Amino acid sequence: MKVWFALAKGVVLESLRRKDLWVVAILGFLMMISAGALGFFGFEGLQAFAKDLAATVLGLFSTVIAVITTARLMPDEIKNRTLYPLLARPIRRLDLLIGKLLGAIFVTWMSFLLLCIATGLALLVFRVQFEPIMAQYVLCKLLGLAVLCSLTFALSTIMTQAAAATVSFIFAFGSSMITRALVMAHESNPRGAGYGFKVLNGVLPQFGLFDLGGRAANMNWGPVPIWVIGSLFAYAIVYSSAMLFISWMKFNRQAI
Amino acid sequence: MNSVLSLSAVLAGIAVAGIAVQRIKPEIEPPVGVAGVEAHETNGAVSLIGQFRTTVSGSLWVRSDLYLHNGVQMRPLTEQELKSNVKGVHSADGLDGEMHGGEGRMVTVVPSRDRDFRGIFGDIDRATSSYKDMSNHEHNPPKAALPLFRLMTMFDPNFIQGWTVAATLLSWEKNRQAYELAVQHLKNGISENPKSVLIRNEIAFTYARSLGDLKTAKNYFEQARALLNSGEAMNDDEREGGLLTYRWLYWINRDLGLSAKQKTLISEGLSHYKDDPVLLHAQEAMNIVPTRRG
Repeated sequence: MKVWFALAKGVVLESLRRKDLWVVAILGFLMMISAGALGFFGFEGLQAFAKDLAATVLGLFSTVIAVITTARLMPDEIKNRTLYPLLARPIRRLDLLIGKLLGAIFVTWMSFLLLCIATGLALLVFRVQFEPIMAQYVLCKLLGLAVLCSLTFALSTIMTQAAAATVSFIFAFGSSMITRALVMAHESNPRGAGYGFKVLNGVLPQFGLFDLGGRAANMNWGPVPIWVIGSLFAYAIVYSSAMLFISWMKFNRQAI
Repeated sequence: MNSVLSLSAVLAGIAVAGIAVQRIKPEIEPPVGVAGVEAHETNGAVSLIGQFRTTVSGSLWVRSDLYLHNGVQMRPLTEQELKSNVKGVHSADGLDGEMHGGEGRMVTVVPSRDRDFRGIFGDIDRATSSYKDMSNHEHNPPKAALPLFRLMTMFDPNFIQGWTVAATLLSWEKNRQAYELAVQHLKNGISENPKSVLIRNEIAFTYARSLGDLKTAKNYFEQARALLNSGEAMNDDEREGGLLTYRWLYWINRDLGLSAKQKTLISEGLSHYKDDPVLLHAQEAMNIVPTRRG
């Protein structure tokens, strides 16, 4: 456990050294400026639009940060030959993977929370009031980002950095669309390929389930039941563990 | 020195090519926008600013529907679903008919439990997304979406639906003040779109149906008719809107007792819309001998 957090700390420090978080801060600043500009025009009654826009922008930026941060971790370690001194220490390969993945998740979470603060300030311009569903939105988004990091991490051990990032983006932005397509196809023809659809849907990462943006942006949606948050937490653990297992299977056999 | 000369030559070449390419602009820009793409490509403007503002207005248009449904995403039934007798949902206040051209043709994007094969994933999806049973659903007060329409027409004043649907929302309270507000809004739309048949029709509908002023309604329909006969290039939506212009002018002239005018209108209308059953029926009822034109 100690090793994992030491490795994760290294990833966070490396990210700070590379000034990744500065990019996040600049994005946040731009968001506040944009909100200020909209507020300048005095658009009364646009609170729902502002919240919707905020949820969309947060989802977009945090996804980009999660994928870019995670996809380069292992390929960079191998390319820069910094992996060898690490493996020369009494660290198992699995520990290395867990530590790196935890580091990527922490960096993504920090970035997301920074963006949340900037967005929160921007929403104040529109006099948007805090609602409990917003806290649930942040919590579920953090879980979803962890799943996205683990998927990208697994892909980065199998393919090149660029390919891993591309495939991750496709899943991150397209999995909900694929799920909707499956549902529509099943509705049009309920008898056809029912079991195949279930398996395909089960294998696909369900990023859309972690996005409470629709509820948070619109009026009078109550908080999500606790069993749903529990289920999402369990799903995030299971899916991330499966991705970690795939990474370990590949990395463990890799001659370095 | 050589490299400076080469760079200058390249820059000069780019400049010449840039100026020359402007000559093909009329060839690649259609004189009339394509209906349906209009929300995104108004005026066929290829400038960055133009694309930005029309994309924003198109996006706001989609959002306005979402806000009226309080975030519940709806989609039209596919042709295959219609063939399979999949039932759509109805709205209790008829607003879906106004916005989507028909009731009972929409379903929720997130399916109800009986339509969903996903088991627990479906249950979680319904719990985390803004989903609710939309059978006989009501809408958020339409006026709540007005700021979005204000933004839409501010970003893209040529987005005709931004003007006409906003007028429907403005007149939702169904009193004289609301109707006059809607007419004023539409008049602003005409000042931005002086060649729009659809906006003139909308003003005329409000006068005829809501304010009971047939003479003013007739004036606006006549303006629309003049535009249709002016030979101005217009998109499919505007041209199809002209059909209602002729039908309504026929009915208004009938109610005002101007039968001679009716005959001219029917013949003229059929010259534009030769298969329209309403105009054909009117032609038959008035014993008009069809001419070669209609």
